[in-house]
Formats: sequence, structure tokens, C-alpha cells
Amino acid sequence: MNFEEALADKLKASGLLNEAQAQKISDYSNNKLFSLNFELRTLLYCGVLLATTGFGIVIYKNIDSIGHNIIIGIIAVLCSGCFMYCFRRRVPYSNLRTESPDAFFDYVLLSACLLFLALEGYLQFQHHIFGERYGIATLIPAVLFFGLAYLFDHKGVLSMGITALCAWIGITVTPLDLLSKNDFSGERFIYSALSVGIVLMAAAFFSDERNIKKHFSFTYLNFASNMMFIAALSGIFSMEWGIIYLLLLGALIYYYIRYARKEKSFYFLLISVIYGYIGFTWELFHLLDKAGLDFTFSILSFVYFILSCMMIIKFLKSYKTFFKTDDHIQ
Amino acid sequence: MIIYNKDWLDNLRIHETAENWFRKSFITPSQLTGIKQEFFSGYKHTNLFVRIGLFLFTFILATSAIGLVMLFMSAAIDSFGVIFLVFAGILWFVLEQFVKEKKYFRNGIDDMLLYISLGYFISGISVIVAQVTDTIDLNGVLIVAVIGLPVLVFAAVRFADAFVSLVAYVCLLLIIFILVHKTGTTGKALMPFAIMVVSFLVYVFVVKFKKEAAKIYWRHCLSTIETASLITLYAAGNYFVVRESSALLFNLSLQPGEDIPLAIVFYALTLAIPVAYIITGIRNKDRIPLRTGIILAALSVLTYRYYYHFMNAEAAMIIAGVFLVAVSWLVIKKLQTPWNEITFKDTGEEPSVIEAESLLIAQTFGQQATKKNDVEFGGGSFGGGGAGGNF
Repeated sequence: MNFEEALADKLKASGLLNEAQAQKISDYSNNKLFSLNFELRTLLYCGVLLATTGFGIVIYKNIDSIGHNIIIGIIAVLCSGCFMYCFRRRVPYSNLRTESPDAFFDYVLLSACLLFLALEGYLQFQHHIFGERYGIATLIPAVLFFGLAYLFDHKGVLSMGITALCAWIGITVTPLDLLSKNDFSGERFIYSALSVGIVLMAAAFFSDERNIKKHFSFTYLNFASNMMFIAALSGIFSMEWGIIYLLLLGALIYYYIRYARKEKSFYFLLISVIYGYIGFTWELFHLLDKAGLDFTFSILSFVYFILSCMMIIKFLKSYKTFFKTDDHIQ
Repeated sequence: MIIYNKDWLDNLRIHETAENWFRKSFITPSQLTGIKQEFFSGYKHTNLFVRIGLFLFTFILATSAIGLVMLFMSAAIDSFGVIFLVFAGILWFVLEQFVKEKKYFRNGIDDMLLYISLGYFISGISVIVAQVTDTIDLNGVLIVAVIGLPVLVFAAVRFADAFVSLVAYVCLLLIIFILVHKTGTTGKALMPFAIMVVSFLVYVFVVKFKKEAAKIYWRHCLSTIETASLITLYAAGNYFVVRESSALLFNLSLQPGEDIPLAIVFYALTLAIPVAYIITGIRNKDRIPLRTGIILAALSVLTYRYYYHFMNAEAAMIIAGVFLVAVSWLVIKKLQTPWNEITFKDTGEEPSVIEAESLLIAQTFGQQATKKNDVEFGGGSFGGGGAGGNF
């Protein structure tokens, strides 16, 4: 007898479960199947990635012997094939979340979008179809990916759309190399990051209010919050009027902590606290140094860290009361 | 041995099981509440993000506190080893008080206190050993490891901490490595086999322990060591690792055309071990050898390619990619109907890909997110209205 079955029996004896429920649970625990869902999907994904990358290298190496137009043709055929598959198998659009029609759908759609980017890049590189108008070249995928993300309910494509939007507004942002690729000191970066952030926050707000693909709002806010917090921090670090950016940071913390509380989002609570702590601490040390006090590495600075961390720990420890979480779901 | 109240741990496990039943709509919310009241537990799971935050800020707090003390102690540079040991002791005492009196249970603060305490303990021992022997060599490392191992094992058992278990296992391997190394030429030649034997024995013991009901409190520790032992067993027999480490650690220099002794054995092991893992995983329906085996199989392919360039990279990538797609496609098609109690259908026991992608969110919003398509049991009634889209 396994643990679940024994527990169900015990609960039945003490009257916490009825006969039918205990039976259902013991059936369930005895007939548990071993699911290879995650493993097989991961292998499939790796396979697609490997094959397409290898394919790309072959094209790149044989560009002289194959001829550009043939390659463009092949990519176009593959791309439209993938799109056709998606349009054929699609489930009707709904403002709510929809499930993918089959196990391969999400990967085919993702491949289609990646191939589209390759095709567009190739056309631009070879035939300069957009000339110098890079704005249009980045706007087209952005619009297309946003449309597809909503039509097929695909968060990955939504992320690609957001990235294309950022490229259009003037910076390249992807979650992982957010920190490595961008030059965070520039004014241009700060302004574009803030404007993208505001657009995305509006999109998230709109999704929530109108109940249109509500589950997309996390993706929007995840991009928006990180970009805006980093912009505010880089303003504090490098701009002349650091205090203005400190106010901006304060406003962001206020907004996201309120949002976190409303949506019971521990993620936004955590990033607000961490970004806020970095910004505030930096500014404090900076101001005290400027005032001529030898603060850094003094006894007082250690005392500051000890007291501030104690306060934050106390705040984080009380998260349950802060969120007023429902105990039976927790 | 374990510091936690075992009844409460048992009850916490009952809570988790009941929560799973609730997610699968076997029981009603009021029944879930009833079960949780009946089986009281003073321990609560802390949300992952809150735990990360507490972990970070406890680190800053503890290091600042120690930094403050060190400011006054800077004259006593000769007795830093003892000072570190005192810090370790104080932190350990604080940790025990928190767990016993305040019922802390993996909330980030206790995790961090344990790690810092052990870190200072190891540092203190290292400083003292280096001062006493006046050199830093393998013997010193051996002494530190031999003193450290029992403490690490004790800490891992007392707090049932997976990370400390892993460190203890690595410490054990380090001791074996140095001891075998000291035996001279024969020892060096036998090193891969010594490590393999130790890994295998540890694996066998761990798997045996995992089956015992009394060891349930340490299941995360045991799974971690199980994975680690499978990896070290493979690594010790991997041709690349053996060849390169012989060159690096034992100054074995190979002329062109020469090969390491028993090369054929290591080539065979490189190939056979991942296959054996995957088969074991499938047969025992155990995810740990299965996943480890899949990842290690990829490393084996890379090992072979490193020494035999039988085709160029892109051709190999295309072939491997097409092979993977074909195999997984076929297996997915085959497993549409369960075979040997194995299925492709997402049973909800493991986080699915869609969930893994939005794991961040799921954790973020507590366990509010109830899955909409409860395939097996005719649709959970909790998913309605916004349907799991409530983030």
C-alpha cells in the first residue's frame, strides 16, 4: 500500500473523506502513469534547434555555389509551410487562454517566426529591400509577432514581438543579454527604456482591465519592470541629476509593490525590494561621500547595512500578512 | 538527529498530498482546510521569491555584522582561524535557536545561516592548518577535508539540507582522490576505477536508503547525492576526462600516435554508461538516471567528436537534429497510448513545459493558478472564469 492510499484510508476512517473519494484517490495513486512529456518535448526542441542551426551553417558556407535566390526561395517555402501548418491547425481566437491544438504546434510556430526573421534579414542583406529605412525593417516583425502571439496564444512569440518593438524604439533587449549588450550609461538608453516600459505597462494594464489575454500581462510587466528599474538605476549611477532618478525609482517601487500586493505577486515584490535597496544605498553612500564624510567601510556603513537588512528581512518575513493570503490555498 | 519535529514534517507532507488532491479536484476546499487543521504543522513553506530575498539580505546582514567585528579585530591577524571558528559557532547557535524556538523552516534565513556557518568553519580550519603546517599542499587539504567531512555530514543530516549533502559528497570524493593519489604510480593508474567504485557504492546505498520509509525526511538530500554519484561515476570513466586529467594532474604526456592505457575500456564506458542510465531510468521509472543519462549521452557524443572528426560540424548537427526530432516524434506518437505505464500525456505530476515556462508566474502568484485542462478527471471546476489565466 502506498503513502497516498494509506493516507486516504486513514482520512476515511476519521471521516474527513467519504467512501467514493477514498476509492478515487486509491485508484489514482495505483494507476499513476510515468509521463515523459517534459523529456520528449525538450528533446524535440533541441532537435529542431540543432537541425536548423546546422542548416543555417550549410547555407552560409555554400552561398557561392547555391545562389542567393534559391536560398531565399528555400527559406520562404519552409517559412510559409510552417505558417500554413499553424493556420490550418489553429484553434479559434478567444480573449481567454487557449490550449495548443497538438504537441508540435508551438514549435512549428516558433520555427516559422525564426525563419521569418532569417528571411527578412536575408532579403535586406542581399537586396536591400528596405534600403536605409531600418525603422520599417524592425517594425514589420514587431507588428507581425504581436498579431501572431494574440492569434495563436503564444507567449514565446509575444516575447519576440516585445524584443522587436524594443529594437524598433532603439535598443536591443533580450532577457539574458539585457546587461551585457546595452550601454547603460547613455541618456538615449534611459529614455528609450523608459518609453518602452511605459508602452508595455499600458499594454499590461489594458490586458488586465479589458480581460484580453490576461496571462500576457505578466510577460509585459516582466519586461517593463526590469527595463525601467535598470533605467532608473543607471540614471542614479551616471546622470547629473541623480536625485530625479531616485524619485523615479521611488515611484516605480510604489507602483510595483502596490501591483504585487494586488495580484499577490511575490516576484514583483522581490525585484522592487532589490532594485530599491541598490538604488537607495548607492545614492546614500554617494551623497555622504560628496559631503566629505569618510563613510564607505566605516563603522557607520556596517551599522547601516545591518539595520537596513534587518528592516527588509522583517518586511519580507511578514509577506503573508502583507498579502493577506488565503490560507487554504497557500 | 534531525532538528525538525518529525510529526510536523509528516503533517507537512500530508498537506502537500492533500493540496495535490485538491488540484486534481478529488476533495473540496473545506476538506483541504479540514485536513490541514486535523494534521497541524508548525512549519510553513515560504514562497520561492521571498526565500531568495531573505537569503540575500541575510547574507548581507551576516557579513556586515562579521565585518563590523573584524574592524575591531584587525590587530589579531594571527588568530583569524580561531575567530572564524567562533563566528561559525555563534551562527550555528543562532540557527539552532531560530529553528527550535521560532520554527523557521527553509525560509531563506536558516539556509543562509547554515551555509555561512559551515563556510566559516571550513575557512577557520583551513587557516589553522595552514598556520600549523606553514605550507599549503595536498596534505593540508586532506586534513581539512577529513575534519570537515563529519561536520558536513552532521549538518546535512541535522538540517536535511540538499546542498550541504552535495558538498559532503564532493568532500568524500576529494579525500578518496588524495588518498589514492598518495599511493603513487599504481594508484594514479587505478584512480578512475577507484572513483567509479566509490560513486557506484554511494549510488547503491543512496537508492537503498531512498526506499526506506524512515529516510523520507532526507529524500531531497538523497536525490541530490544520487544525481551527483551518477555524474561522478560517468565522469571518472569518460575518455576525455581521463585523458585530459592524466595530462593535467599526473603529467602524463602523450606523443602523437600514443594513447592512454586501457583507452578502449574508457571509450566503451563513455558509450555504455549513459545508455545504461537511460535504460535504468525507463525500467525503474526513475527520472534521475533518465535525465542524467540523456544529458550525459550528449556529452559522450561530444567526447567522441573531440577525438574523431568523422564529419564536419554542420553535417553532424543536422544529422543529430533530424535524429532527435525523428526519435522524439516517433516516441511521442507511440506513447499517445500508454506503453508499460509510460505515457506522453502530461499527468501534472511534473511541471509541464508550459508550466516550466511560466514557472516564474506560478510561483509568483502562489498556488492560485489552477490548471484548466485536467485531462484525466474531466475538468477541474476551479479553473473556470479566466481559467488559469488569473495571472
